Amino acid sequence: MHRYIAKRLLMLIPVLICVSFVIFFIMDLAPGDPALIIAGDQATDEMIEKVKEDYGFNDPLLVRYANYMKGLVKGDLGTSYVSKKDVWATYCQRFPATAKLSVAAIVVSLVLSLTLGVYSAVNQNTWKDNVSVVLALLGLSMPQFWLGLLLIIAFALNLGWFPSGGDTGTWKCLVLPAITIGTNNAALMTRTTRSSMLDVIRQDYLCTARAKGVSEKRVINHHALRNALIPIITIAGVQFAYILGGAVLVETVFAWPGVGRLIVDSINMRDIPMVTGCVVITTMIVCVVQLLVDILYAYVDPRIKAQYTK
Amino acid sequence: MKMEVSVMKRRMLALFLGITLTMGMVGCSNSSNSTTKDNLQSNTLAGDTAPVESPPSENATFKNPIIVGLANVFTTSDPQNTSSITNQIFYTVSHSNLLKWDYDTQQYMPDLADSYDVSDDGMVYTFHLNKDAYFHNDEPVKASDIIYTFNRGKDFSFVAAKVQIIESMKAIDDNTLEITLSGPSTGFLFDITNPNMAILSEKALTEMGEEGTTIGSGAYYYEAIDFGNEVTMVRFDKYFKELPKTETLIFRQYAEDATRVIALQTGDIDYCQTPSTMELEYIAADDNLDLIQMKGTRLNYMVMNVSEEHGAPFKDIRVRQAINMAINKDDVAAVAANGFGEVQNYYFTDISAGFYGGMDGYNYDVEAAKALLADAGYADGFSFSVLCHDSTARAIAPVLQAQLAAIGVTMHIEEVETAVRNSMIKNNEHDACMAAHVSLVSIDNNLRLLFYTDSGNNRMKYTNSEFDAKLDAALIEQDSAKRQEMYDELQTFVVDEALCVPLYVETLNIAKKSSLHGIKINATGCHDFTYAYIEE
Repeated sequence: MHRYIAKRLLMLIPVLICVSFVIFFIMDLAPGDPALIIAGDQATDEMIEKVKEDYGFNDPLLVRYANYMKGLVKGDLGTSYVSKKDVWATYCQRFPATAKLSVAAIVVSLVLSLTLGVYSAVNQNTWKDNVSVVLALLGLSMPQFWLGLLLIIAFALNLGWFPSGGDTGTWKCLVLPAITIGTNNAALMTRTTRSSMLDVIRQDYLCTARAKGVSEKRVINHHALRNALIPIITIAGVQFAYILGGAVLVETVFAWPGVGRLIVDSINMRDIPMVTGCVVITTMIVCVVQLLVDILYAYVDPRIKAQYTK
Repeated sequence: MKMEVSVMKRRMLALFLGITLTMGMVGCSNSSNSTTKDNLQSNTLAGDTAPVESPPSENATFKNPIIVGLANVFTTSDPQNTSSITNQIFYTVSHSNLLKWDYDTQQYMPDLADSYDVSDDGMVYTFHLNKDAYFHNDEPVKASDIIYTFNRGKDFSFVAAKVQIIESMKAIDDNTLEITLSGPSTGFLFDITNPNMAILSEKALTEMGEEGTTIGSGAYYYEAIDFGNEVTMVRFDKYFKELPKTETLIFRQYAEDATRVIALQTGDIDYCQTPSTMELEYIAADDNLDLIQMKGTRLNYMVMNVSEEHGAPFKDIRVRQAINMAINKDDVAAVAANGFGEVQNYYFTDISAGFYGGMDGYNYDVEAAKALLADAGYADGFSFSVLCHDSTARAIAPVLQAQLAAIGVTMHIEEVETAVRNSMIKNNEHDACMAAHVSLVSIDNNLRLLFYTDSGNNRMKYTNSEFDAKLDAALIEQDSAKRQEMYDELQTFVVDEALCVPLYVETLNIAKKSSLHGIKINATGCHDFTYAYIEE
């Protein structure tokens, strides 16, 4: 198991090199002169040239990339062209809000999807199943920004139960954005749960359990659901990593100070160090989350654990 | 019914306020030249205190914090490195200038300088600094800090143009600064009131690097900055003027218009920057909120590239005139600004001292436009691309496109990001672009910024040595009547040249809690929150 984890962590290195190069290359190709942004639109040609010289923009792409990687190896992600702040410090300032929202959203997704998915599978081909499927489709097809605004109008403006936006440090401010993201994600997970449960629900070992007098509730929740969990964990892991990368729309609607808005603002301002730094860190986080998901498989399914041990 | 009456009363009040403020400005601007001249020679300044809009009771307690909801992003704590109005809102609270410009009275107000003297030749200014002024790092503000700040500004495009007139600076003592100009300039004092010219602490910048730009001598210091999201500022108890009533100001960005207004309605914020025009009726209908509307200073216009290098068709004045006459600006304002815009035939607003509004400009006349095009050899029309970089530009462009089609001109809308647009303009790769200009205090600055050869905002790429020479001459003309005459002529000239298509000036909408007082509202949008308070 430890060897497997070490191997996966080592694989991070080439992944990070590739990702950083691709993003560096793309930002270089993107139109818009960063020197002009730094110098300001009232800058003279001499000022712009000085900025290019100072920031090394006149160097070839590979030289600039090599310099960037030298810093990265030392843990230096560079300094923002716009705010002149350290990229790592800026990311760290934003990440807690994103992490909080991601965890809350995935909890909402799991609660909704497991409940609806299991209920739907157990009541296959009945009106209850149809209602669950329609609800899942509704969640999937509803644009997040629209759902977010509806929730704000209903629960912040009219009922006054939750704040309308911002991270005020209380649990209340998490509720609406988490429901917005969670509902959308839950739709896909509900369908996965349903189909996974349907695969398991007619297995012989469940009939055996029933024949032994195990209650239906225990059969479903303990025997069936546990065996149906692997695909659900896979989807949940992917979605969790996705939200950790920043949910731009929801962050914008709820004025949530997350990583997504930071990246989009930085792209608009051609803040190359900030964009590259954020993408590199996000890549690392996504890889680590995927690794954690793989490890989780082993705890859910002993057969997989046995494979790791081999 | 009661609500309707209340809404109507509010709207009438807002309209009255807007008209009063606008009239006040017009009145002041007409006489501003003599006012300016008088002040240039004067060494006394009227005192600057908190606005007395609604004085609180003696034992009043105040809401803490006051939360300001911003539409735009705060990008840098360095006053010298930006021209963004949103950024400048912060510097009016966190930093001080040598002098301030009061938009209401059109007069210079003391800031770090209590008073100043000007030599008879108008070239040597001696500023006497307030001895009680301290930076947020508890260091006293010294003349050497001002010298350091202005020298540092030479590396920043927004400041370099303002300090290039300075020939030398000398600290007579810690509280007396002598600045010698390379020639007399009527724009120098205006320039030093600009938020770009906020005074920085030499010690802070030397010890803290760029972080030192957060250290000012304003009424509030930065407690926490999360760029692009939220900034917390706390009252500076050693502030050299009257202390604010509110202890903490929080500025939070709500990028989504609807959420920002809802946040105001729910009480999550106390002030809402530029509410969307779609939301105004909800604000007006809310008894707990105030909607203040006034003519702004931000002109939306279309730029035509007239440079020789770029060539036809816009280097021909007849084509430019035809384009101007083919546009029905009422329709543009109605569509793009939902009716909250005032059409305009010239480039600046009456907020600028020295503004002249006597020219006719070009009025809507499709037949005359067609005739001009035919005369210029474009009877069958032509096509060009216009760069659109923001939501306002994207709202305006389709209207222009439809109207220009009526005279046979095909306008292609090219949507680009701001960074791309600016690069294309810098490299002279554009036919035309949408742009906006916020009128500056000095008419000289406005003319220089937009039309002077190689100026940063001369997006037309206009070059006219005669115009440049006349503008330079006006800047050093000491006779106020003669100077105004020169500026009138220059303003008329650029309008006649039809270098751009001025469209409309946006109405400035302000939404706030009714209980919020003390904000110094400014038609540029750079409001001063120093003395904002809510009595509990």
